[in-house]
Amino acid sequence: MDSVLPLQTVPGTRRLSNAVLGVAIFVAAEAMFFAALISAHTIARATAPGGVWPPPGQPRLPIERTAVNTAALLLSGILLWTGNRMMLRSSEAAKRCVTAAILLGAAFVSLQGVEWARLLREGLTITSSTHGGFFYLIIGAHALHVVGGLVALTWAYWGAQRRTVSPEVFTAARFFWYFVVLLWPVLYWRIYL
Amino acid sequence: MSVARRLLVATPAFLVSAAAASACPACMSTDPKTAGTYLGMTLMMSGLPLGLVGALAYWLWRHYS
Repeated sequence: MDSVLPLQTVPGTRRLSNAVLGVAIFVAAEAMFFAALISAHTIARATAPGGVWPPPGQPRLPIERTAVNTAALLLSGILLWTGNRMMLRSSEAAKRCVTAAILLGAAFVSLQGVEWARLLREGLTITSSTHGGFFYLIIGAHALHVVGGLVALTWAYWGAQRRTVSPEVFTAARFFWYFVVLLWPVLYWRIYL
Repeated sequence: MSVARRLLVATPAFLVSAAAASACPACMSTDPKTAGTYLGMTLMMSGLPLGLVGALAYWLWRHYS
């Protein structure tokens, strides 16, 4: 059996770290932020002239390609969750899972960037319509969260392996990543479908 | 006239003379679908903070109990 990675708090300990509690409060605030954006978008969509959404003449969003991207992000969350559960048993398998989760997150952002470039070329800009404004604001805010989550996750994982960062910080980074992953299907449903 | 007496006279006069304001989009919308959307979003924005605080409290309670 491989040596146990110092990435998980010792089972049985009841102490809640400041990092985890801080991220929990931050996630609650972010959930409200995205709820407000979704609410505004839903009302704008419901009150669109003629009930037509997206507005005529605006490019359609890439539903199928983004569905693949959605699957990649969800798989990233599942791998991170699985990797964390494996850490007390097999550190090599856990390392592979966490690394794959980070790489899938990076792939998600990269593919989103490619799609954005294509949409910009097709004429969907932040000022082209309400549709474009909401799309870039909401999806862009999520993309920033994904990038922030990836940086935090990579830094915490790297540091925890070298014992320069406490395991609780890695737990907090994981918690934030789960939020980012679980938020995306809601955004996909509301914005793309 | 004291402030209390002025308020006593002004308040009923204000209540009688004020017209209803169209401050509720869900009530004032003529389209039932739009009204339903407003109502749904109002419920979401009202319920979500309560749910989040409740979930956080439940999580802390589970963690420490």
